[in-house]
Amino acid sequence: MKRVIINIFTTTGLALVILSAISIALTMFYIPFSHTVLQILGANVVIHLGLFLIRKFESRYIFLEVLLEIAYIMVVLVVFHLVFDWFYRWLSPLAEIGILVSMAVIIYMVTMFLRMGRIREDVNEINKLLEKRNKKT
Amino acid sequence: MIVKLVQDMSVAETEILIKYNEMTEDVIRVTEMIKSATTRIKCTCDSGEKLVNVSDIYYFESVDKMTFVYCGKEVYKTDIRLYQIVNDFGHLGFVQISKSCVLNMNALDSVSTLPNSRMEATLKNNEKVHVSRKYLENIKSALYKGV
Repeated sequence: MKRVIINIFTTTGLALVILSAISIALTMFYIPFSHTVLQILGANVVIHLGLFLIRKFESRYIFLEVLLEIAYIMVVLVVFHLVFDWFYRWLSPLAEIGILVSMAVIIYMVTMFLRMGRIREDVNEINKLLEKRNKKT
Repeated sequence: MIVKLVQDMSVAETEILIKYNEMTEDVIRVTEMIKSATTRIKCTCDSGEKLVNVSDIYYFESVDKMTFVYCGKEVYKTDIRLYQIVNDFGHLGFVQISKSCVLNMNALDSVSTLPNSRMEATLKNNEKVHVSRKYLENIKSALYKGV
């Protein structure tokens, strides 16, 4: 659970940075900060709790797992966008969806990268313990 | 660690006495290894029923509601379910490493990551078994406990 909470705040921060970068790049829309932070935090809570449940099921094909997770993230982001009207209709619907999809993919890839790093650390730790055990015998 | 073997023709049953001044991980491991060497389970194979030493088992795998017992070279079947194996033999070094596999930690040689973020465990006979990331923590805590 501690890891889930850390992940929620990490991806919330990441989403805010990306959103700020996009708004600066497009110089087309203004994001009211306080509401957006809470909405993005809410979206991340829903995303991470959902992923926590989705990851209980494992498939032989990693590609299917990745697809399912990305699809779930996009559905949550689209729902939140429709509910909170994140882009205030200053962009075309296609552009809005495009931005959401890009954000979802970027954030997902960053978290995948971080997760793989953690797994590698765990595996190295296990191998060191095995080496220590084998030296004793 | 000093190992002594003393033959005594008067004893009816083999007795193992471990002298220690402190209960360390090594003492626990040796004790569990001895227990596992004398624990057997009933298995079936082509030639009929057989009692297999738990210490000879590398891993159990559940496929289509059947539990297969993998030793170094032989494969058997048993009626014992995976959750029973974890409950009954967990203290002997058997750890669940995926939804369908329980591994004997004494048979584990190393763990490696695969390019598609999967993991596999290499056993002492060079066989490889899939490790689920959900159960990676089980392997770590078993090693810290001295299994």
